[in-house]
Amino acid sequence: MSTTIDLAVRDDDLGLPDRIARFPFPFTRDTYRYSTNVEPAGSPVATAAGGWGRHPVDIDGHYLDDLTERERILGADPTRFQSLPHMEIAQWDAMVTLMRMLADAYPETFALERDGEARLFVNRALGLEQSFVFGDRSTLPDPPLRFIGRHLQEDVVLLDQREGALWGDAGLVTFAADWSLRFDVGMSFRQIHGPVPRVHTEGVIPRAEQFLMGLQAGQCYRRTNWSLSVDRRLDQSTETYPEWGRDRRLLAEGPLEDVGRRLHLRVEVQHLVRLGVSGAIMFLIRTHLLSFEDIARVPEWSGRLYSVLDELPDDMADYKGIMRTRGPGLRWLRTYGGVRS
Amino acid sequence: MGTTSVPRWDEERRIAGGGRYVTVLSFGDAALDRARSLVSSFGGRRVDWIRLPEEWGDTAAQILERQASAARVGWRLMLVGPEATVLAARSAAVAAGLLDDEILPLPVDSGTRTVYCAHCHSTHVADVAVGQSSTCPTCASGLVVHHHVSRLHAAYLGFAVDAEERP
Amino acid sequence: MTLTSDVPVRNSAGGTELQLTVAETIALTPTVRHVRLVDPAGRTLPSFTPGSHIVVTCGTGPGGRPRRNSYSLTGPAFEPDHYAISVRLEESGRGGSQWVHDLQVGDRVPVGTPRSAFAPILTARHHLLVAGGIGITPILSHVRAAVQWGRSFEVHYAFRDGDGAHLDELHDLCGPRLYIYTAREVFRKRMGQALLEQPIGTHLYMCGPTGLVDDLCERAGRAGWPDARVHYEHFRVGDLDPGEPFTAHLTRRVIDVTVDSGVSLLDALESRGVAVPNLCRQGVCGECRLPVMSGGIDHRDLYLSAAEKEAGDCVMPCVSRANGPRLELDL
Repeated sequence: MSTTIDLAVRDDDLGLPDRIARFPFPFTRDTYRYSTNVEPAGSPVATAAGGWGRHPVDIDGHYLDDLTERERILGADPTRFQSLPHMEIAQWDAMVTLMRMLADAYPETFALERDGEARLFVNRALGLEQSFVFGDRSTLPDPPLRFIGRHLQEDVVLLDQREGALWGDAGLVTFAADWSLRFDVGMSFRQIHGPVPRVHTEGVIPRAEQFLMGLQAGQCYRRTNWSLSVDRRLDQSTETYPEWGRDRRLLAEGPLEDVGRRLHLRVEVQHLVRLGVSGAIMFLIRTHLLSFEDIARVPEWSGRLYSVLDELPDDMADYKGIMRTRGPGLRWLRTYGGVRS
Repeated sequence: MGTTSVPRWDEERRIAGGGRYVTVLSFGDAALDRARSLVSSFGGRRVDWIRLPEEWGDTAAQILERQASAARVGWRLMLVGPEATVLAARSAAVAAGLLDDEILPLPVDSGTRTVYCAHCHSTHVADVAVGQSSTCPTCASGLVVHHHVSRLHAAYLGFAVDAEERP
Repeated sequence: MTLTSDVPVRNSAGGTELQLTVAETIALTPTVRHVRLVDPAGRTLPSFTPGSHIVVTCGTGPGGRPRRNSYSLTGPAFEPDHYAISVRLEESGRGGSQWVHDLQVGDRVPVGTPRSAFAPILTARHHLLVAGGIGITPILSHVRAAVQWGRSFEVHYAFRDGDGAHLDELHDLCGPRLYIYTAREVFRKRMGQALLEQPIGTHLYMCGPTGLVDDLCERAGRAGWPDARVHYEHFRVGDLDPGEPFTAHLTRRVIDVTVDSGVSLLDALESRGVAVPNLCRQGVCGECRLPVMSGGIDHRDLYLSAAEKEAGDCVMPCVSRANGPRLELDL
């Protein structure tokens, strides 16, 4: 099924705006714990406000803004793009796979055509066309992963499979939540998740890795992850922590009524795809932010969010960086958000 | 990464036992005893022992590079020295094509750690434990040393200790 | 690589079936036939990792059940317009290879999507590729990728005189990097030297008869090669041995399942309505592992470790059998 991208953010009098209707609200229960919560990708998910999840790549009304923000971030810090030398083939593989995914999901906007040995990628939203030959660097203006990063809102991490493990050996990540691709590049799956509390003793990470290593070419799964962000700040990387860290405290110290507008539920929709030619695993991370104010327009969501935040153990809250913001979030939900505790 | 100096004989036997010939690189005087007993433990197998300065630097890097270029599959590399140096040497060995299974890192007890500054991307060596702070000499950020180690950078992650307290 | 199994066609998690047709057949040698399969609508086929194989439904076997064989893909891997396989005629087989040798242009052939179990290691400094007989098939796709991506490699190809498939193509792709052997002793001696000479960072890939692969694996180990550098795919002529019939007793369901000669334990369980999670059906993926309470096991898989096989408390039913009249399963 095709969808035309409507790049204007619609505010429909008859229902909720797109940004709320399409928000991937992540909680299915009143409490949250880590699990290998992977499911096959591509099936639409209905939520209390609408739905999401039809396509593994997702374009929304923030498309142009997010791409501009990505370019700004990479301009200031090119190290948000990393690739170890052996990942060249995986970059090409990821790029072409993503082009195909975009063309399949939004055929009115994207196309990938064949012209003999060459391919032609068309992005009508940006008014750009790029002809290239697979594997031939001289035919692209950028490394392949860097190139496709100019066309999609997702962050991308590529994992090489060898020595009985997965290795995060390349990536383009401008919207990191509390981590640094530059520091983590080259780590194994287990090492990357080293600092996450509980997941090792509970076997979540080894099982997740086993599962991923068993994926065959073409298989695509997804899961969600979440935290809280102050303001619509996409770049929450370790690199820029000195810029945004204080907002957690300032929010807590500021007027309660501002919290609704400033505090956001940050959800990552992650897609995991086994690539064909390189055998690498492609990890797509699509970040969605919705303010507590918007969440409060959906009573089922605000009630559940309240309950999850209230019950979350401290070690998990600490790891997610929400020790300072969850209190104000809970208070706002009670005071202004219509939640009875 | 353990900082114990207690021999891990099982692991040594597993890694060294599989190899056809071995090179031991020892870093600094404190590592000599350990390296000596290691070298003498290999029975009939061919062992080379190269003594290097305690700190990782260009000389050590060149020597390791040269050893790796000449090496053939069947080689095992043992690294004995302070943790920071051993981590750096291992990173260089992997970059030269070795697998983890071909490298045995044997850190001798030392309190210094290499810290990677997340903000300016430089590394420095500091006498600091995980959870404590160190100042980045390049950008002057006060960093907290986090329990997250990169084998590629051969360093612990350090990030702004007071980011949330700043006005 | 060829492995037979008499099983109902089954779509394992994520796997789909492609309905292809024969575009071309070529007799490469007196015993090896090359077959090109295409999508009848001319669509591009899914890309695959070099070393991958497809499971081909080769008509029906005795008892009327579909017969499925795995064959390595020899052709280009990126968005290919065809899948190519080279099949040796197995006289003592169950008819799958004969069926492939009887194919005519235009015939329909159902195949599964490519499965990767023998992939190139991207970090390798050098690829030492070794093929025995029809084991050249996955090695050929490795060579293609190595040439395309500028990798350092060499190929050692041993075969019976007159029976060397794909020689011309290999000469074109490899030039001086190809070493061919028709005398076993020459091959063994040269490989013995090669195992001592490889620069650190080299990975070894082998595909061929069990004897060749096992021998080289053992010698590599003795020469100090860590397991993580040694990769192999068996072409097991021996495994066409159908085995003796036995009884599988399921302790929880309290039923006895007869496993006939030539029928896999997995097939037999499924025919009795016992669902067993499975994926590769050829002993490599580990998905179908079952707990064994008692009974000797004839392990024929490539998944369990030596220690696990020795412990005798689990079995891979897709390929392994009882080593005796009876096996008790905790099912």
